[in-house]
Amino acid sequence: MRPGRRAVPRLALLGLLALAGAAAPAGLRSLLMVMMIYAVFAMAYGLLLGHANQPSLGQSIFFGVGAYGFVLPVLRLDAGFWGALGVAVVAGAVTALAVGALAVRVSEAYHVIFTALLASVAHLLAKNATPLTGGTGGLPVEVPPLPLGPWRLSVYDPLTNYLLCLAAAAAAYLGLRRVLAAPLGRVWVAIRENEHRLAFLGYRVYGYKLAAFVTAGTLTALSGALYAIRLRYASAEFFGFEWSVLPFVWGVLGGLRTLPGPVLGVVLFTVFQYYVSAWWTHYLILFGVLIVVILRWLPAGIVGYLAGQWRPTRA
Amino acid sequence: MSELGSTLLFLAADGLIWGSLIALIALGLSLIYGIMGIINMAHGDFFMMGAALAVALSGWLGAFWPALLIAPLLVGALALPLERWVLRPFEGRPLLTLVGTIGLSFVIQQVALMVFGGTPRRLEAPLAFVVSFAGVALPGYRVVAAAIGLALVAALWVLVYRTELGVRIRATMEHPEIADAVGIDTSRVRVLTFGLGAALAAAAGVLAAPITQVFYLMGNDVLLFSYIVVIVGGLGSLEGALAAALILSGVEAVLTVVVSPVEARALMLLVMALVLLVRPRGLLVG
Repeated sequence: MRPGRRAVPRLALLGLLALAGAAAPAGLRSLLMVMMIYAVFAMAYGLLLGHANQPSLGQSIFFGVGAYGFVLPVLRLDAGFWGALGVAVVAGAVTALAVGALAVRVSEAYHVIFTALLASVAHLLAKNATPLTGGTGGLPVEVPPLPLGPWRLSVYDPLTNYLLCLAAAAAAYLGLRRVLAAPLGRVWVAIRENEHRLAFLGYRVYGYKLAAFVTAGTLTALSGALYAIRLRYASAEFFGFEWSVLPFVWGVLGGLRTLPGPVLGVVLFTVFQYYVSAWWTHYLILFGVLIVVILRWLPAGIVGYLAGQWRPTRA
Repeated sequence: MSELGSTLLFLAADGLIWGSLIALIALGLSLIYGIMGIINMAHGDFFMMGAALAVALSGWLGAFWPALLIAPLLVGALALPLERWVLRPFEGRPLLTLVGTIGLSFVIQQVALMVFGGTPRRLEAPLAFVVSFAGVALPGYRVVAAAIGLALVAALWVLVYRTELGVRIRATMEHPEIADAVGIDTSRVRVLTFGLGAALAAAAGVLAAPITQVFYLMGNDVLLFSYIVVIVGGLGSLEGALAAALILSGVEAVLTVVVSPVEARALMLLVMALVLLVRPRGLLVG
């Protein structure tokens, strides 16, 4: 597929989403914003598990690091908006490099448990280090103004905050799309299909998997920073187990092997969370059933199914 | 005996009690993984159901001990169809079972929240006496609970290594196809093993109810620790899991002398993560 062919509908979608931010009522805009923040997280996970075959159950580490990576420089160092966002993303990348250097060595069930262990340690330490993190109660932050060329914008204007998240989600989508179409992305897919054969062919699988881990960790940190910016707040609960489970759930719902898949998973889950929870507190019951049903009958997720890419998963 | 000595002894005994309960959970996990290839993220919830049922049954019957029989039977009976009709298609593919059982876990936790409410509860210890040993006073219930826990572990050992069902279980674990070929109903073995694992976790939950907070999310806390135990002991190894449960719980309890309980837990998890890298087959197997 030539890159230019779908540019028009994509630009139209982007414009439509931007317009929606301006026109939609506050509630819907806020919902769309959450979806965009989650979408960055979810696409990163699609890359990690759906393409590079690493079932991390520790993504909350990077989400939390991203959130505190933004909040702490603002509070402690009086950093500006872009400076703090830069720190958040770099901190995510560095943490992912450190965690990944070890996690990539183990696969399958061991990878799951290794990353879950580290995330649990991060959660415990964050809860414990109250002076630094504010513990479970968290740290509120006043988000500094956002200088952009000649303008000084502020995320306290809801539309600005919305457009910031839209820009991040669009950049993540286009960036990942580009990488996945490049040789690096092809190698990731090859890792998923048959890691050992790739190693026989002379590829340094470890390096490629680590690259996927760091890319995913960096984007997850960006998502965490955006989440903290939206709430003007970060807490130790950002390191909690649910933030490691959610990307799994999004990916399984939408399908992990395509970029739009996890995004659709995010849309479904978020709509579920907001609307179904309004009339039924225990909506997670329905959700649990949905996970099992999709896993059973649509193992490639909804998008995978729609794309006709279904094929039996190998045991 | 010095004060430090008696504190250490007390903590070690406490670790031993939790160790025997964790062993019950971990043995079930290990059997289930060994036979069905299921990474069971809902296993902690079977533990929680046991504890919640203990609270409910104690209220209705006015006595604690019947729950120790009823709750595991109920939870085990509930788990049988889950394996056969829900999880069977995912078996042998650990990642699918991981996500699928997370789904199950959501359902179980929310139903528990619906039925029992969200406030943590505490159950009065059904035994009031105190055991004095070498100058250390241990609450009698904890000693009895540990003894029952270890007795159940021993019963499981007898079941797996000394009965015909045990032969079938081990055969299915070693070579499912051959077990099938020699006429073992491996489907039945799977269903029964899953139910047995769930019942053991529920029994641990009943025993834990008087010594901890009963809460619909309590299963999440024990699950990770149980997985560590399973891995350190070596996946599928029963003796390994038992030894690891006792040693790790004891070490963690003793560590709390030096550092806070949270730091002790974090330290244990970190060390175990590193063990996983160096010895992925487990520390206690050759």
